[in-house]
Amino acid sequence: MDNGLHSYLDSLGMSADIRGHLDGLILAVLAGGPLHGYAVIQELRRRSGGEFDLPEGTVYPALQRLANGGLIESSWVTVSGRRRRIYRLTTSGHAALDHERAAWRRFADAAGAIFAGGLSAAEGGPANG
Amino acid sequence: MAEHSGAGAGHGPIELYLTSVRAHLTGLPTRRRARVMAEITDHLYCAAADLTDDQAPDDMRAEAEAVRRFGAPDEVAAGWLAVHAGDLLRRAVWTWSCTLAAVAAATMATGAGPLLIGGLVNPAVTIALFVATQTACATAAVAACLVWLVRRSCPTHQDAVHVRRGCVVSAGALAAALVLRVGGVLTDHGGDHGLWLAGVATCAGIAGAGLVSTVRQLRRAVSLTAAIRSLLDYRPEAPRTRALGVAARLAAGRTPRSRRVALLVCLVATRVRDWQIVAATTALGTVAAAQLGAMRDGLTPSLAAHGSLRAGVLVAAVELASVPLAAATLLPALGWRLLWTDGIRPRRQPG
Repeated sequence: MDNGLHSYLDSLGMSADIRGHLDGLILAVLAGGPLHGYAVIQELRRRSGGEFDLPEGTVYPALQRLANGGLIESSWVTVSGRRRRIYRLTTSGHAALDHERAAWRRFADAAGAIFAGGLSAAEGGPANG
Repeated sequence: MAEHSGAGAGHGPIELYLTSVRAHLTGLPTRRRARVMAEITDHLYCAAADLTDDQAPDDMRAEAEAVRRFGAPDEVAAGWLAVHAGDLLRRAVWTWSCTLAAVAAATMATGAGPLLIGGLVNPAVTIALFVATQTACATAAVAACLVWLVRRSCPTHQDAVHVRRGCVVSAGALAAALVLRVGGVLTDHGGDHGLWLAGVATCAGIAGAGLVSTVRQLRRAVSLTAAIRSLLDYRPEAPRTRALGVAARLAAGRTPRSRRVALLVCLVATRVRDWQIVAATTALGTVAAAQLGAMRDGLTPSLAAHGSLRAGVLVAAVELASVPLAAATLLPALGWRLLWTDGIRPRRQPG
């Protein structure tokens, strides 16, 4: 994520957890099929069980930036007399998503191991006696 | 381009919100702004429709809630401008680089021969014209370094626009110089003056575009009628005209016509942008450089006849002075301040 958008999201008070992974989250949602911006936000909220309740206006600049980077592509349709932009993953986007998933898996495994070791120590004394 | 459906048309919360966002997005190109507004409109009406079913039984409350959840207009616009700033800068750098490469290739292809145009023989004028050429070339070189230095930075939208304008001006001036050069070479070899005239026309076009843009900005920025009325009454109210009021007071006691003239001069002086000055001066300098090319050969025999060493030292000193002259007069219009402000580093608050 470039520093300009990063600073902007930071200025909105978006948590570092979401801010740092917004690109990957959006790619993961779009992996399920083409969606428009509002549906992306709804899907993020639904999949996270309401945990990721993003400021809705923040997603669109991120979508534009992903489109500029070639990770997603868009097309326009007309629905109920309104123009609607539909986003879908490109081949590069799928590859980027796979990379994000692998990186997150490594991070989650490593963090989980550290937290699990600390929990054991808290429950039964130091792990090494 | 239709930006909203018939549903909710009028002055409901969504319409008012869209008007506010549109005003904050004036930095975006027209087509992109229309697409952004279309997306935001679609989102808000979708959100309002969902809220009408769930949490806000009436349309107005649903629209108000949808607007609240979307975010403050200035913050939403700032996000878009932040994305656009990067695009702007990258396109400007590529345009500039391609133009520079084309000019360099064409210069090498046509050789380094002088432009045989004009009939000036005055050495002082020749030196002045040569300084103009050196200034333009030195500025082009420094600008090239600058834009490559900032291309990976995260500028604000205003900074990106600033650099883009500088790149456009420099690219246009170089293109005009190229046309002049090619025209001169063809002229030297018995060709017609068509390309030379095209180069002059290009330079005039650049200056004219700068003038038109200045006038348009003046019309948008200040109501001229209101400004004249308030300043002639010596009661400036708008912040923009406050400084102009000082200048108008300096003309107090003179005729109303002279006060109006003073007002208009101050209005232009405070609103014209650096890059517009660059457009005019670089264009004039480029035209003058065309004359210079013809005079270099004429100058050398004159120098030989009138003490070449002293004249040569003078010319060399003038050439050396032209480089800081270029930096002092033209770099501000090309975004030099980015190197000394935090504009080249990630900012906390874009826009």
